[in-house]
Formats: sequence, structure tokens, C-alpha cells
Amino acid sequence: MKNVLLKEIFREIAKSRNRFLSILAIVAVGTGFFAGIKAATPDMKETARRYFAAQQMYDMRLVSTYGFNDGDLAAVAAEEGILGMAPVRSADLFAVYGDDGSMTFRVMSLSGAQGDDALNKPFLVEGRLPEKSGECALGVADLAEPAWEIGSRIVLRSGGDDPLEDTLHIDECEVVGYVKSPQFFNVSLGTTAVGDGRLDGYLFLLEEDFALEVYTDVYLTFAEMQGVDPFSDRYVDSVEARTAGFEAVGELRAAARFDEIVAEAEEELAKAKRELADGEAELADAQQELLDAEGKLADGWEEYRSGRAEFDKQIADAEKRLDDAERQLADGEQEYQQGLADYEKELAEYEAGKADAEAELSAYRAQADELEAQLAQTEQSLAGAEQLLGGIDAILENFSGTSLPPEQFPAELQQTVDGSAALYDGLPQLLTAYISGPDKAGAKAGIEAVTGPAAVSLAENRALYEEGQAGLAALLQGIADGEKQLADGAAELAAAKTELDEARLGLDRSRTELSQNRSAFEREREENGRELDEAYEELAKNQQDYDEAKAEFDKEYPDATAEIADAKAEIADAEQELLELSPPKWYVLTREDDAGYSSFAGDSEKIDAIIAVFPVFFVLVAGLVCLTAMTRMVDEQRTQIGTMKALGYGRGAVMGKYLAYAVLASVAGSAVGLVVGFQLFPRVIINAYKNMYQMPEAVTPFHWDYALWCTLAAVLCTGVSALAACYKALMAAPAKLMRPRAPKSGKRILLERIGFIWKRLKFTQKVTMRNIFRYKKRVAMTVIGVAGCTALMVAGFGIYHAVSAIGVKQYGEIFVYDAAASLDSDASNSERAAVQSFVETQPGVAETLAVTQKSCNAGVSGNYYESYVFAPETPEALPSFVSLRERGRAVTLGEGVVITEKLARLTGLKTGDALSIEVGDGVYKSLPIAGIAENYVMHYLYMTPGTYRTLFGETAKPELLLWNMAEGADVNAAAEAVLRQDAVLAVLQTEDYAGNLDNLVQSISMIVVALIVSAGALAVIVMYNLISINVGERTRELATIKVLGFYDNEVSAYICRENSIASGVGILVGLLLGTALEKFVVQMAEVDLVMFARDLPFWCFAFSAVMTIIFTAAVNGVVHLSLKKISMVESMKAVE
Amino acid sequence: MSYVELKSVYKRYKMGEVTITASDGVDFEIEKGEFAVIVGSSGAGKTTILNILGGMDSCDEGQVLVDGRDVSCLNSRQLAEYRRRDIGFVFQFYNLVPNLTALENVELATQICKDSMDAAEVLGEVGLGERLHNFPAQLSGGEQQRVSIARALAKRPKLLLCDEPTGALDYNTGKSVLKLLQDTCRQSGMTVVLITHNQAITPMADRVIRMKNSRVAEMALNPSPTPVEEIEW
Repeated sequence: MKNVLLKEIFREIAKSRNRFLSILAIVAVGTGFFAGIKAATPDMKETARRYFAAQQMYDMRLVSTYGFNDGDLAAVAAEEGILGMAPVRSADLFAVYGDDGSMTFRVMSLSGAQGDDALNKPFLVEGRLPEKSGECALGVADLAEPAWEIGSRIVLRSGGDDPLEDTLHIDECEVVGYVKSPQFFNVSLGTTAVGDGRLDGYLFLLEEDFALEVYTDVYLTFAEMQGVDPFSDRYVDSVEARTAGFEAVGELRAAARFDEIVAEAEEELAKAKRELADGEAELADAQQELLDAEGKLADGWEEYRSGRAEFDKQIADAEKRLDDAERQLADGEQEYQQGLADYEKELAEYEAGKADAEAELSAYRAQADELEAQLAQTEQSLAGAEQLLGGIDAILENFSGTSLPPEQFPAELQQTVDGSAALYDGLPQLLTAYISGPDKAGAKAGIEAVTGPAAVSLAENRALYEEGQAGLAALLQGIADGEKQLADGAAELAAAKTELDEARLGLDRSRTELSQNRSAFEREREENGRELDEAYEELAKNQQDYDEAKAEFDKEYPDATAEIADAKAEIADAEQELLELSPPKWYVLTREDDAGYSSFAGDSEKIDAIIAVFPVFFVLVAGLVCLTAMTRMVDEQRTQIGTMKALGYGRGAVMGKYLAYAVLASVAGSAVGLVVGFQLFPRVIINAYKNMYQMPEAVTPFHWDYALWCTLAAVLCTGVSALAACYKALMAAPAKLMRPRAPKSGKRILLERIGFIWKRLKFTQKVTMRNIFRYKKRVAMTVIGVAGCTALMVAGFGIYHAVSAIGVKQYGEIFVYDAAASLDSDASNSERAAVQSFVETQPGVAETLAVTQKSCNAGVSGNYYESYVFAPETPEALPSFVSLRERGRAVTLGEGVVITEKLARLTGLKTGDALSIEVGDGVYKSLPIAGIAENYVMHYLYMTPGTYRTLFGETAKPELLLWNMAEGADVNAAAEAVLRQDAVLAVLQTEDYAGNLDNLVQSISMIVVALIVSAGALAVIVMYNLISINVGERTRELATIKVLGFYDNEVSAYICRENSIASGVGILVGLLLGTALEKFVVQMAEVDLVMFARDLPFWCFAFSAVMTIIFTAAVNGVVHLSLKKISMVESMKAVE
Repeated sequence: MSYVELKSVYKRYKMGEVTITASDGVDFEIEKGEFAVIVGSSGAGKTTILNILGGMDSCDEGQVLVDGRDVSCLNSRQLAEYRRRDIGFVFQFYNLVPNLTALENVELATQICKDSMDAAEVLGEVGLGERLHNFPAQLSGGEQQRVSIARALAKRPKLLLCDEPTGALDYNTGKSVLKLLQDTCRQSGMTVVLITHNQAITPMADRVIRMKNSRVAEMALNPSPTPVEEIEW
């Protein structure tokens, strides 16, 4: 009998596979979610725990200001209870890449971390550990670039003033493997005193590559801590208890080391002094050399100058001479030209005149000839006459007394007598007469009558002749003159010509000479000029060299003198320091002192709180769906139940079937859900953590305790649903059960009575409204399911915003400064001022503000919280560094203190109330609260320096220097420079904080995504389930309207409209619910120190609504497809 | 050409290895304005034929011509249209929407049909003028069937198909429903096809189609149908 029942149960499961599977599915989702999410944080911690244990992470870390030598190590090892001890050498160095890029790396020795009992074993990710010198294992860190591949080389550079050789024997190493170190658990590796203050990566070298003489860290593990949960109080407490012991050892060793060190220091100091002396001497030498050079150079210039002057003068003279010569030549030429012109003119004239003159002369000459001839004639005649006369006379005389007869005449006489005829014809006679004579007197008279006039005329003629001769002579003379003139003229001309020619020759010669001289001059000038130029150049070069040398010297001189002064000062300082030297100090650190480690527990708790709320929803929904499904099932099988009862089966047997069905479904669902959930969700969450921590492989054990509770809950849930569904049916009489269920009577709904709305509705809308109110339970469940989905999404988005906005608001809107340098608390005022001016002179720095920041407790009695007093030197400048605002309005610093919002919330104080501040041990003072500033991380008390003084009784000593960069300036360069200042301990950039928060936000966003997917799945499952039930119940109705001729989409609309309206209402409810849920979760997840952003921006609502609508539409789409399949023949079936 | 013509209609259901032939080569005609009755015992294939005629199912072979149009090869949307405009269906179990009043049930049909009659009027014609705003739960079986008929008629269909309309009703109520159908047929000239396993009704029909073993065994014309009041069974 029971056998058949069992068979029936299994057949039932097989037949109504969909229902069974849907119950199974919803239970799986609910349990999987719940258990998975609950297991996430424990798994995460377990993962970390196992990792730390496997890698033998240290329990205690010793650091000394002076490092550890062998004596120190021996002293440490002598302590009891130590399981493992690993002395390590480490240094922070630069790793170089590209042209001048560098990253800050922590380089550690692998000494204590090998072998089975090693500590802090790095976890090998790829490759191998270094085995010989020069090899290194690179820590897996978030290095965007460069990515050093296995086999590549990393070049190392000293991080500070000490040379690299002091630290390492090598300067580059080859990557042989990638490792993860448990020491660098957090993705942000921590701070360093090198570079810009941020540690970018780490690597391991063999100990032999280190040149450091001492160990920098000593790591210890203790036997009694083995196997103890590091996150438990027991562990923390027992480690704390041991620190005192090691601190004592430290003090003992400190004294010993101190003495050693002082001795070393003094030796070095002496060396330094020697070096200084050398340096000074060098400087003096250099100076002297320069002076000498200067003298020589001056001489050289002098020489040159005089040489040049002379040269110039010579040149000038020569030029002058040449010019003179030229001028002379020019003059001569001119003269010559003139002369030539004159000559030509005269020649022309002469020529012109010559002809005339010649003519004249020839005329004259002719005349003269004529005259001459005439004269000659005349002469002749004269002569003759004279002769005659003479002869006559002679005759007269001779014959004055004598006579002669004519016949005795001599020939000559005869001639003369004959000749006298010329005078007078009668003369000869006379003469003869005379001569002959007798009548001499008469003849004489007669002769004298002739000869007298003839003599007179002869005398006249002779006078004429003489005149004529004179005239001829004159003419001749004139002619001769004229000829002479001509000749003179010609001679002159010739002479002139000759002169001219000579002059020409002379000129030409001079010209040639001149040009020769000139070229000679040019040549010489050039030569000499060149010589001088060369001399000049050389001098100039020497001058330049000298100038350069001098400039360099000048440039470096102040530096050198400064250096020397510095060195002197340094030596003085060092001597002073040595006097002031304090013994080494040991720091005993536990894991909790590592910020990256200690935040892990906190972060995991935060996330735990956030996600804890969500599974509850799923569980509720799972319950709802189960109830509906079982109710429907029982409903469908009323007749069967009735028949069974009629057959005589008891209530138990009947119920048993449904109970068995439910239990089987839920157990199976639970199993599936747990198996998947324990694996999936913790992995998702742990994956989300990979952003923040270097998580090892996730450990996701099966948590039997959770599993048990969850399954129990699931079974209970479905079982109770089944029972609840059965109960009514079982109570009823069998006959009633076997009759078809009376169809639910239609009723007028409330809306119908509101006439004017009802009349306006379309027919199909009326049908929908009636349906909604008819199937209230189902509609309500849809609303709840959808509301839950929307609420989850709103909460998810809201939480994402709340956390992500912190970074944006806190580090973008409130802390608007770019970077902060924290100064040594021992620094003097002048050192502080020096640092401030140094920062101000950095390129790109726009403004600075010194701030006193001191931590103290503040609150109200019984309720104190660690806060930071923040007193800016110049309160007026504060707004460009920190924006204090209360609900959007700016708050100014004045009297009293401005506290931050979270503090106000925690203490319940308002503006005007008194805040109690602990200013010393057990000493409290109160200040009125002047305002409440919006703030998200930590508590701050903002006050003026005056208020500070009133409060603490001393002047504010700013230890924090904030500064702002100009637009676009690079803060890293400034940060690096500032960090190198002695008085600066650390430099923090606000964008680093924001970056850290970013990681957290990203993790959360991954979780939010998972949440939304599940919320969507939730909505879809609920809606689909309920619609299926709806459709199942109204198949007949739907088939009928199909027969009536409704198109497919009209049939779908018939059903889906109800779904959409329910979904719409659900969304609205969900948005409200989500707001409340988000506020609740935010408050739960908030830590005291942090305030999540309180607002819920519009996009959270919008996104949630839109996504829910999308899910609804998807479900409607699927339903549409299934409605198409309803066969109209169904409608013909008998009412069962 | 007859108003309704079925030619060699075959309908087979395959369930695993078993093939059930619901219609095994059915041939018949019906003229316009006739009151046709298809009789046959259970499993004879009557409902199948009605389903095919009504566009709710398709045949595997053959032709189904209604007013000259072959409805056997229409796609699902065209079939929906066909059902909307040309067919009025009266179900054995009335199939009223329980959430709607009588008037609204008829309006459900009229609102999707362009050329329909006024719902209230039709209800008046079937004698339910006073019961317009009652829900089906408040109506008796006969009244419900009347509403069903009114719903079918309001669409002014070409064919009125009735699947055992009196199957769930008592003798007198059944008779009055049949009378209503007959009157409708006569007065408005509607072609009515009625399925029943009750042989006694056949005299009221103009045409009687007897089905047996999934095919038409006999088709007989009745020149002088008997008024329903005179039939006794």
C-alpha cells in the first residue's frame, strides 16, 4: 500500500517536473545565497589565515634605528619561546626604467626565508627563487608599466645620498621569478622615505648581494602562536604581551651599540675634517690659477691693442699717402688734361694762325726777296753809283791836277767813265773832259753838277737804300721774327708737346706706381690685418676660455664656498650631533602595526555587514514562492485528495505525499544551493578583494554548520507551506473536494463605484482592474517580489554611491589640497619656515599652508573619540586647502571649534553645545561648537591658532605643511623634492588616499553587480512563477478568448497587463523600501571613523526602476511565447 | 458550391509510436442557412471536425472551404481573424469569464468585432434583458448558455458552431436553448452546425451528418425539420 503511495510521489515529481524544479530552484537560490554570503567573510579570513600560516608569516618584527649586528642577534635569540628567527637586510631603492623613469622598490634579502623553517616565505607564482648572485624574485604588484618579464634585468639606483655600493654589491639584477610576499598583503605597499614616499614594488635578492653591514629587520615567530587564529583576541593579546620582553633586550643592546657607533663616528669625523682641508686648498688653488690667467690675458690684450693701434695708424698714413698720391695724380692728370687741352687749343690756333702767318711770312718773304732784290739792285746801283761817284770822285781827285788823255785811260777808268753814263749821259764826257782836260773846273762843275745831285740822290738813295735795307732788315727781321715766332711757337708747341708727353708718361708711370703701391699696401694691410685678426681671435678664444672658466668658477664658487661652509657646518653639526647622539632604539612591531594587514580585518567586516542583509530577501521570497507553488499543487489535486480520503486514507498519509514532495524538493534544492553557493559567493567576494589585497587562491570549505541550519530552514519553510496549503483541503469533507471547485464569484470592486473613473476606462482595462482585485494574493506577491528586487537594487546602487562618493567628496571637495608634508616634531621654527619657503619655491607650487595637527580625544563625558585638532596658521587661507561646509554653506573659523559631522552624530552634539577635549592626561577643557563640517573620514576639530593656544596653553607648532599645485603642474616632482628635505618625514598626496579608497570602491562595485544580477534573477523567478500559476489557473479563460478571436498579442496583453501594473506598483514600493534598506545597511556597515555619503542620488532610483522594468518586460516576453502554445481545444475540456 | 465544404479531411495525432486518426477522410457539405447536426457516439470524431471548422485546429490533409475560402491553409493570425469574424462558438460548458457580468461577457466578443450587434440587444433577444449585470455565478446553467449563445451571435458570424450545447443542461432548459438556436437559424438565416451524441435531436435539423469511426457514415437532408417543441426524448 505505502509502496503505491511512494510510487505515486515519484510519478508526481516526474509529471509536474516544472513545479518541482521551480521549488528546487528557488530553494537553491535562497540557501545558496544565504549560506554562500554568510560563508564569504569566514572563508576570506580562513584563506588569509592559511596563507599566513603556510608562508610562516612573522609574529613579531624588530627594527632598530641602527640596524642589528651579530651581538644584537645573539641577544634576541636568547629569548625564550622563539620558534623561528630570520634576520633580514633590506633597503628602499630606485628601480630605473626607460629614459629616466624610476620606481621605489623595497629590496630584501632572501636569507631567512628559505628552507623548511624559514619565515615570511614568499609564495612562488611563476619561475623560481634566486639561486645565485645577481638574480632576483620580483614581487607581484600592481605595476602598470613597465612589466619586467622573467629574464629581464632591473637596474637599481640609490634612493638617497648614500651611494649604491654601500647597500648592494650589484647594481642590476635579473628577474628569475614572480613571488607574492605575505608581508605585502595589501595592494598598496606602504610608505617609504625614498622618492615620492610611495612604495611601488619589492624584490628579493640573495643575502650575498647586500653590502650592508648590519641587518635591518629581525623577524620572529613564536611556538605558542602556531595554530592560533591571527584574527582572534588571544593571538593579539599574547603577541602584545611579549613585546615588553623584547623592548627590554633592545634597551640593553642599545647601550652597547651606542658605544660602538660613537667610536666609528669620531673616526669618520676626523676623516671628514681632513677632506675639508683638502677641499679648501683646492679651492684656493683654483682661485689663484684664475688670477694668473687673468693677468696674462690682460697683458695679451694690451699688446694687441697697441699693435692694432699702430697698425691702424700706419694704415691710415699709408692710405693718406696713397690718397695724396692719388690726389696728386689726379691733379697732375687734371693739369695734363688742361695742358693738353691748352696745347691742343694753341696747336689749333697755331695751326690756324700758321697758315696765315706762313702766308704772310711768305708774302713778306717775297716782299723781302723783292726788296732784297731791289735792294740788291739798288745796292748794285748804289754801289755802282758809288763806285761811279767814287770813281768820279777819284777821278776828280786824281785828276784834279793831272790830266790824262782819254786814250790813256786805264780800263778801269774807262769803265768808270763809261759807267758814269749811268748817271748822266753826258758824264763820261765830262769826265773825260776833266780828265783830259783842260777845263777841269768847268768839267768838274759840270761833273759836280751831276755828281752833286747824284751824290745827293745817291745819298738819298743810299739813305733810302739804307732805309730800305733797314726796312728790309726790319722786314727780314720781322720775317725772321715771324719765323722765329712761328718757330718759337712751333718749338713751344713742340716743347709743350714734349712736356705733355713727358708729363703723360710721368703720369702713367706715377699711376702704375700708385696702383702698385696700392696693391702692395692692400696686401700688406691684409697680411698684417690677418695677423692681427688671428692674434685677436686667439686672444678672444683665450678670453672666452677664461670667461668660461671664470664663470664656472664664479658659479661654483658660491656653491663651493657654500659647500665648504656647509661641510664646515656639517662637521660642526656632526660634532654637535655626536654630542647629542642618542642610543639606538628598537621598535618591536606586530602584525597589527602593519597598516595593510590590520585593515584587512576591518575591511572584511565592513563588507560582511553590507552583504549580510541581502540574503534575507531571498529567503523571504523563496518562502513565498514555495507557498504559492504548494498551494496550487494542492488545489489542482483536490479531487485526488478527495478521492484518497474517500478511499479511506487518513490525513497523515495524504499530507505525507505533499510533505514528502516539498521536503524532497527543498533538500535537493538546498544541497544544490549550498554546493554552488559555498563555492561561488565566497569566490566572488574574495575576487572582489583582489583589488585591495594580494589574496592567495581562495579557500572555500563546505561549512557543515551553515549547511545544516540552512537546509533545516529550507525544509521547514517548504514543509510548513505544504502543510498550510494542505490543511484546508484536509479539513474539508471528501465530497466537497471531489466536486469541482466553485469558481470564484466575480465581485464588484471598489473602483466600480467611482463612476467617473470607471466609465472612462476601456473595456480591457476594466477587465484588468477586476482581475487584479480578484487575485489579490497573487498580485500582492508579485508586488512584494518586484519591490524586493527594486529595493535590493536601490540599496546596492545606494551603497555603491555612499562608499564611492566618500572618495570624491572627501578628497575632491573637502580636502582640496594637493599634498601634505609632515615635518619632524623636533624641527625648530626656523627649520619649519625653511621647509615652507622651500616648498613655495618648487616649480608648480601655487600656495602653502602650515597646519598644526594633533591627535586627542574629544566628545562628551563617557563618549570620547580620537580626533585630530586642525589649526591652520592663517585661517583665512583655509578655504583653498580644506573646504568646511555645513549643508552646502561655507563655515568660517572663528571662536570656538568646528567639528566634523560624524563626531557630532556619535556624540549627539549640535552647534552651540560644548565639546569636551582632553588636553592632557585626565585634563579636560571644553569649547563651544561653532559649526559642524561635512566630512567623511576621521574626526577633525578645526580651530584658529588662538583657540589652540587657549586650549593647550602653548603656541601652535605646525607639523603639517599643505600645499597646492598650479593647474596642470606635476605634484610628484615637487613631492620628491620636498621629501628630500631633512625636516620632512613623509609626503602624502591626496590622490593616494583617493586611490586607496578607489580600490575599496571597486571591490564593492563588483559585489553590487553580483547583487543586481541576483535581484534581477529574483524578480524574474517570482514573476515568472506567479504568472505561470496565473496562466495555469485561467487556461480555460485564455483558450476561450482565443476562440473568440483574440490575436496572440491581445491574449498576452490580457495577462501581462496585470503583471505590468503589479510590477509598477512593486517598483514604487521597492523604491521606498530600498531607501530605507540602504540607510539601514549604510549605518550597519559604517565604522566609527567613517561616514558614508548620506544622500541617495537620483540615478540609483532611475537605474533600479529601469532595470526592474527590463526584467518585467523579459518575463512578459517569455509568457507571451508560452501563451501562444495554449491550445484552444483545452477550452473544450470538461471542468475537472 | 456549397457554403461549407469539407473534402477528404484527415487529422492524425501521433503519440509516440501510436497514431490516432481522429478524422479519416471526412467529406460533407452544408448550405447557407441550414441547421446541420453532426451526430455520432463518443470518439466518432465530431469535436475534431468542429474544431477544424472553427479554426481552432488544423487538418493534416484535405480542404475546408467556408464561403469559398480554404481555411485549412491559413496561418495562426489569419485563423484568429477567421475566428473573430466568421465564427461564433457555443461551448458545452459555456466558458464564460467568471469575472465579468453577462453584458460584459458579450461585450468581450463585440469589442473585437467591427460589425457586431449591440450586446444588450442581443442579450435581450435571447431573453436575458433583465440579467445584464449579473455575474455567471449568479446565473443558472441555462442562462449561462444563453449568454454564451448571445456572445456567439453578437459577432454576426457566418457560421454558428455549437458543441453539445445542451450537454450540461436539463431536459427543458436544453430544449429551450435548442429552440433559441433553431429560431436564430430560421429568423436570421444563420448557418448553424451542432454536434451532439443525442440521436433524438436530429429531426430538428435540415441536414444530418452521421459520423462513425472518424468518417462520415451518412449525410441526409431533411426537407421538413420538426420544430423543437414537438421533439421528445
